Amino acid sequence: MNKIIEWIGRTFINFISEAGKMLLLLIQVVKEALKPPLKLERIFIQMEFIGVKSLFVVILVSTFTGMVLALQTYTGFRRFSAESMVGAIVAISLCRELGPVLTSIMVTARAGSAMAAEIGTMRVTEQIDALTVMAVNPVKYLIVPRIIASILVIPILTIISDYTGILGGYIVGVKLLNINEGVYINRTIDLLEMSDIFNGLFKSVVFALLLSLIGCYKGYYTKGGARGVGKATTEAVVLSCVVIFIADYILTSFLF
Amino acid sequence: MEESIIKIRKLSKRFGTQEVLRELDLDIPKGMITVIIGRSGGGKSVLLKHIIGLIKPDSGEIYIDGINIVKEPEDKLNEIRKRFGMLFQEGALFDSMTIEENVAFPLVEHTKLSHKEIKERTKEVLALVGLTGAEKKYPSEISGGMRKRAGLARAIIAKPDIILFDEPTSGLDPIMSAHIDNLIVEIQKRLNVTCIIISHDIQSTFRIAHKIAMLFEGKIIAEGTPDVMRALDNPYLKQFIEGLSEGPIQVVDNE
Repeated sequence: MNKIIEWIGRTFINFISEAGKMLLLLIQVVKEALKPPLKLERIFIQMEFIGVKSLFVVILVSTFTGMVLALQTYTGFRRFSAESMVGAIVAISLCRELGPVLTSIMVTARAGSAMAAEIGTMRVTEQIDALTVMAVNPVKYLIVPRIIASILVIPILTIISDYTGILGGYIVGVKLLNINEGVYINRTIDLLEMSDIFNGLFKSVVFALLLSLIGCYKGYYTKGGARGVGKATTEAVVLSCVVIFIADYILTSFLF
Repeated sequence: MEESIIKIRKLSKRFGTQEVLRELDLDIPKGMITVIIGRSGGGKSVLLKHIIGLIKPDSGEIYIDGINIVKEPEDKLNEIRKRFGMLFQEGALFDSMTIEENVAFPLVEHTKLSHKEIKERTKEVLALVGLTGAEKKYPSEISGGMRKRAGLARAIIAKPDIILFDEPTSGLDPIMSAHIDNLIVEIQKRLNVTCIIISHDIQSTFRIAHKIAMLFEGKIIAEGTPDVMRALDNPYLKQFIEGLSEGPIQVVDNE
């Protein structure tokens, strides 16, 4: 019994201290980001890595999600003859929910893990110490560009994801399931509101901040060689995913 | 003795329950090579990292030209750090950059020199350490000895006053060790810099040092010129210099 209470206490203390350290890192990031000069080149390099190179996988995942969504809602909605609503449902679910969440999860898997692994390796091979010794602030040099790039590029990926998802839904709904094309498109345009899209984009900005901060944080505080880097990478991905889902619920319940 | 550029006073540091440095005092003479010797895991690296502000002490002072760096805020500390160059044990080169980009890094970050001037300076220091021709290679493509030389080139390119070396000859064959030693001596003479080297390579230490200090159990237990050190009748020092397993220093793992 004592052991259980001890474990709960320790886990809770660890959680609070991690969250605090992460917040302190964020404050440092904001401070460094506001301090000139801000080197755009490093942000562009990260934008290419986080954004351009995630494009293909985001398109692939969103298209299939849109397709399966159309298929599933069709099966359900046909039971009460509401097939005409499939397009609208697909579009609304994608823009409000699936676009931002799936994009962020895919970017976490691709880029969040890479952030933790790269910064972590630099930590254990003294490259971060080398930066400090050469009077270059490692937070400004390594973390600021990654976080800014994520915040700029993930909403754009989300728009692309929304678009390709809707397109995937359209292909299945209209071409395969033979829902009337005019009805499908008109319903979608009628029912999808601009606020659905904007709220989804707002979410994606928050997710971008979370996943890049967690990836960089885990990398920056890596300890203990190759094993430490592996551990940091795994933790970054798991924690980012969990935090994204929790933040998603909180944001949805407060904002919409 | 000559003027000291660095003065360390009553420096203490502990990690958890382990006391690494205990009220350590040390003076580093200007324009000379000081070698700090001691056992592996004995706190030499920790001491070196204190000198450049990578680690903050629990108590004590470190004066660099009279400025106590323990109390300085980070941006002031960065100004002081620009006077330093440091060679890390494994080189600590950035593996995403070529050797050329690595060596040029301090100039790219901190000077307004033109692209052409930086290129020329890089070429110059790479020639000095004997790495002409390796400019376009990545750190993973060259040997450990070459990485150390590239790290040395990066440490000296911005013309520092003080260069720190973290075990410059560890993991190298005897010929490469001798070569690195010669490089250190040559660079020290040519640039008239202060060098602080931590090492447990006794042969190399006596070859290059102007001053030797021995760190044992968190304190400097003996210091002086190589001749003075050889003549000292300190059982700990003797055991270390002669490399004996029997003596007052016990071979136990306390980790």
